[in-house]
Amino acid sequence: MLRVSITLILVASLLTSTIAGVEATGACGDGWGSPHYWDGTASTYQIFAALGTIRDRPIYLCSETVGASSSASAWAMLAGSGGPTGENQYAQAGFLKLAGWSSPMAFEEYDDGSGASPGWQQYFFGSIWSNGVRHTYKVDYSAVTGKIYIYIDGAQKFSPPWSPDTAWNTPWHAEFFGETFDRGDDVPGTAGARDDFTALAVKHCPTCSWAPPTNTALVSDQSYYKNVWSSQPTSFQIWTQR
Amino acid sequence: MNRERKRVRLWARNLTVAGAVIAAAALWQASQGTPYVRASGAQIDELTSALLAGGIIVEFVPSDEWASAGTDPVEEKTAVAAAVGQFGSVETPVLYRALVTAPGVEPAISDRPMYVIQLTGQALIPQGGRNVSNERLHRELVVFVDALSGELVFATSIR
Repeated sequence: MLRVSITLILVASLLTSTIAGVEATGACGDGWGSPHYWDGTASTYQIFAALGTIRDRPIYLCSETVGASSSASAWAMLAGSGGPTGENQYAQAGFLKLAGWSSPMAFEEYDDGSGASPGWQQYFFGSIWSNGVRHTYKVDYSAVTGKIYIYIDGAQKFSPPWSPDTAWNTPWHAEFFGETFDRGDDVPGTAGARDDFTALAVKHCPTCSWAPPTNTALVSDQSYYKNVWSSQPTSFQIWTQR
Repeated sequence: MNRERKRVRLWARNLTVAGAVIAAAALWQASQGTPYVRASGAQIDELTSALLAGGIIVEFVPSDEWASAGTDPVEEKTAVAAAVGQFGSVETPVLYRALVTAPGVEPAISDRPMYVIQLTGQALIPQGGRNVSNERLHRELVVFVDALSGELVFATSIR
């Protein structure tokens, strides 16, 4: 009788885990100097604006020690094609969590290629991230001002003080990704509660209308960072399943 | 034998008293929230310059002028708790009061009374950047907490 009860509890627990899609976080192992890890898609070339809606999901990290080399995020980005340290020309918005934070936050980040403030800067916004809610992120270049403007849910946030006309190499492209800094971290989304990227769009010239991303392919550099098109090329889902 | 019992009883009483004092101190500390310090003049100058470079205008408000600015602020420890509760803290947070303006940002931030709280010991990993070394990372976070509502409005990395 006792054995039957225990078996039932184990089966119920397993089913609950699968249905709820609990985190699959691995052990931290990469540390500083590691690259980032990817799950998503890019749109090439020449792009002047990126737009997308991403659903807020919890973020599970392999370390929750403040200052540890662990983080995960999901975002829309406009990026240049060069920089002194590789690919460090970009402006992006989405949500993220760093090690030791109590919850994810909406964020924006930009880099003129210098990797140093004020050319490189991050901003984190309170009262936006909420599990299951979708938010729209837009990174838009204006040929009139030569500047980039970043929006979250239509509200303008901090603009880079520099112009990509002079700071970035051409051509520019758009990216829509979930990302981690340690392979033990999870990209947002679980098997039971995937993260949705929807209404993806780009501009092929500064005054062009929004159009579906082009030349897209879903890529992931870890087998447990999963992805699937919901409606190619404008909607896809990502999640972690180890 | 009686003397031995008395000694044991005395030890027990002393231990109880010491335990009560420690417990009371812990309770008092918890009620005071996270320990923090107010920024020095030099810290304020340095921070306002760094924030200005990032497009954020902060005007320091001396404590005795806070009330005359027409505000009824939440307690400092409430603001510190909001910042530390979200981001964690490795070293003692540094706090000062300011009127903050961020041109072009919505919802509008214009001469808004805020607590500005510096948190160190973070690892502000670039989400878009590559080839990130430990040495290159910014370690300091500046958190802006609305002085009237206690809401964590935004935070930014400085250095």
